[in-house]
Amino acid sequence: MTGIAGRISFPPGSFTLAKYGYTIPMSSLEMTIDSSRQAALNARESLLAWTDEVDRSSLSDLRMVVSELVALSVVNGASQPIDLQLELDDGEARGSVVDAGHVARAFQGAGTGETDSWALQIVDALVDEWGVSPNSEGVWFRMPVERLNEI
Amino acid sequence: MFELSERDLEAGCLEIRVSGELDLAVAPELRAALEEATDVESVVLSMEECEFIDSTAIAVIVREQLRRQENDKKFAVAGCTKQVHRILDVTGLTGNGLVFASVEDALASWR
Repeated sequence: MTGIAGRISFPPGSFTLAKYGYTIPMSSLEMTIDSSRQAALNARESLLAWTDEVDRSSLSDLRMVVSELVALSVVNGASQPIDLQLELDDGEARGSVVDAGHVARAFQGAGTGETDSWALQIVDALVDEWGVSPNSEGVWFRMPVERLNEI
Repeated sequence: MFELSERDLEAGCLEIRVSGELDLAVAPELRAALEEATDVESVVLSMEECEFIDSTAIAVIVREQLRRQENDKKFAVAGCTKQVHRILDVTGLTGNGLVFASVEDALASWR
């Protein structure tokens, strides 16, 4: 678990498919969202920046996961801005939602939101792997995506 | 933009149409509309113009299904877009007679 949490803090960059001689840029998004009933919508709209980079179905799932995690944060009492960090790599998206531990507590089954169990079920179904960050300040995830500019 | 509209399909049958994105911010509006229709015999939630639902919407739908079952009244979700159907599917709601391909299919199942 700590490996992913470490990886998502890597700065944006690129990797090389030396075999083919191509370089595919790695994309990243970082945002801070005010905790409100509109927070999930704001997060989803931010992800539309990847409309030309991720196929429609993958982007729909990614928006769903991010929306649910931000909503979990809001319904579990986050009062301060929520930090969202996302990376788009070869066939995979990685992300984290950091909010002083509200979403992490929901992940651990200690949330107070009436709809937590549905949110956890949806996220769990769509991601490959997710967990609480080492400092318990947030959660990380990774999930498959199909990039439109893949070779 | 989220919007709810209603129309009578036939005697004792109400269609509630959802447009836009149904999430945390607006799910209480759907819940209120469903509660207002408590005494209506049959309610179809039409999702043909709904682009997105989240867990809060799922919770409203499940609550309504249970509430109407307890009162011996009918409830269906119909005409789901791809994203909506996917979320209904991963939450296990597509296999219990709740979800129909169209409003017409839902009505036909009740005849």
